[in-house]
Amino acid sequence: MAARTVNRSTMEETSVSGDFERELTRRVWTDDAFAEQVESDPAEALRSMGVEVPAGVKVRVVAQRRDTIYFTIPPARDPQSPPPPAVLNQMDLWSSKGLFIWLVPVAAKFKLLALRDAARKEEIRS
Amino acid sequence: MSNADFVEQYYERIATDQDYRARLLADPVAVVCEEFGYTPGPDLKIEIVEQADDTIVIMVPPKPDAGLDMEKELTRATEQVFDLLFSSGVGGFFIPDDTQKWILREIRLASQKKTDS
Repeated sequence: MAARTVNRSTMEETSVSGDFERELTRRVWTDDAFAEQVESDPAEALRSMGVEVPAGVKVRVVAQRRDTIYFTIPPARDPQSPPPPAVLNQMDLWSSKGLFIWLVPVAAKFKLLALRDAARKEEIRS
Repeated sequence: MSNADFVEQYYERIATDQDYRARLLADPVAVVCEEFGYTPGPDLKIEIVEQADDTIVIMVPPKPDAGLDMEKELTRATEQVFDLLFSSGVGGFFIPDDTQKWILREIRLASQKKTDS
């Protein structure tokens, strides 16, 4: 819990800068309680940053761990449903440590813009 | 079956075979290693990142090593933002650390040997 006290002061100095990726990463790196919450209850954790998750979309946050390989798998599909129009592509990201990654269904890409915009507006307000 | 087919058929199976998908989610290391024909080391950890049509997944870079300049690392990691928009899907492995890189190469090699034989 001592770490949390230290982090609180860091948080006060750095309100949301409008750069969602940077602020989220900062919170995950410096605030252990937030890091846990963002994985268990992402919508609420993002709300505490002033970012509202747009309606109709879910958000999942994965804080990458260095000792883990992440295997991303396609959406589940009814076996009777027609196959998707294009084959699934395989793409390995060999240094994901150095990247902030969004995995976004095409249908949700404008929701992603709304989410990022929420972070920017929060900055303009403050 | 060529190695390319192996990959596509494997994703197809994961997408459509609910029982298999459930097993993969419950025990990723055992199921992936069995499928690829790879014998895991004691430290191998695999986490499945499920894509769904209604879900945005955010993968935050791991915390830098102690002693590194936090601000510099924040800039470095978050100036490289990668948006992966998928239509029918993009599957694959994300490898946060170089030491994990070689493990994945071994896994791939194992699957190649398996499908070649």
